[in-house]
Amino acid sequence: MCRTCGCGAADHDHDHDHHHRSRRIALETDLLARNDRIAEALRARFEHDGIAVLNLIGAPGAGKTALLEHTLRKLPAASIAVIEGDQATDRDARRIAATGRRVVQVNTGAGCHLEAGMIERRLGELGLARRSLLFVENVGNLVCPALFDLGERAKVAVVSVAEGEDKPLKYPHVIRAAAALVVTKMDLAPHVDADPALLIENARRVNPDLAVFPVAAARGEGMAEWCAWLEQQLEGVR
Amino acid sequence: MTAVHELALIESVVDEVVARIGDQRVAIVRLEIGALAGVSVEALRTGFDVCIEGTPIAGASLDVVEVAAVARCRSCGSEAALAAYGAPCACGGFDRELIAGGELLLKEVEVY
Repeated sequence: MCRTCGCGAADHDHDHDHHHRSRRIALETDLLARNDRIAEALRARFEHDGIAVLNLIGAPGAGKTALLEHTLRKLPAASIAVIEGDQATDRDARRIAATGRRVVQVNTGAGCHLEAGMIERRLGELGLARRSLLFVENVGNLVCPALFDLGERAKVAVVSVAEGEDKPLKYPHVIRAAAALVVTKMDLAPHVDADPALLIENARRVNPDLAVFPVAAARGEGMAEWCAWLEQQLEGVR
Repeated sequence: MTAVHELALIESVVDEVVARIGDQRVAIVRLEIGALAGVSVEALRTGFDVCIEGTPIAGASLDVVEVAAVARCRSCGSEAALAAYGAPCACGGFDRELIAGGELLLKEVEVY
């Protein structure tokens, strides 16, 4: 605040005319308005087309792509496609393509999160059928993606058990925004001195409504419950 | 494309301001940011000048009104400051609904 005139600007001199003649124009708009407008249009389109979209958010290395690979193989009958978000390379898209499902890769370059416009631009390439499940694997990052609505039905947080029990407390925004939490790499817990129950308790402190799925995807453990939840999401858009 | 989400938000602010007020000269952009909105006010301040350079609002200054977080406990009904998500209510409950502190608002501009 200017200590001379009390205006909102930093200190400045007052011997010439400038913003004392300024006038206020109320805007009252959400900072995310640009993204949210596109996201809402996408949501309406997904609803109309019967497509259940899940936005997967987790740190790099949490096991998002591996979870998807195993999930896709567990749900052979369902129509599923994937949008892969990474800063660079099409490595994840190639892993998904190897499962026989449709996939597009979005590279964000320096960008740390996906925005709704990126989904809108690439959606047409997937040729989604009615009653499809669309996974969006966000850029590996537990912070920024939490803020950006992609028109999804639900956000799913993915945290590996090796990341530590306090991860949900340290990165609460994504846990708060998510409908479900998948705790991956459960088979590693005894080897990394991790307490999955405490991790889950911490997550529920941040978000008591969270559905939680502890899995060891490669071993198939916990995958039935996770896949049942996915089927429910599909039922929801029927 | 931007590297942290605060920069993406500033770009959004520029677009919105230009769309709403046209070519009037902007002196101040005033934002209202909640303590638990998931946005670093420091990063907004740091990035603002650089981000608006070369845009129609270049030279404007940024004023951020910070809003403290308050939650209502769904167990006991009391309202109290919320230091962080996951912090318990005095009654021990964790089911706390944010009633202030989530703001992420382009409040107003001052134009010459």
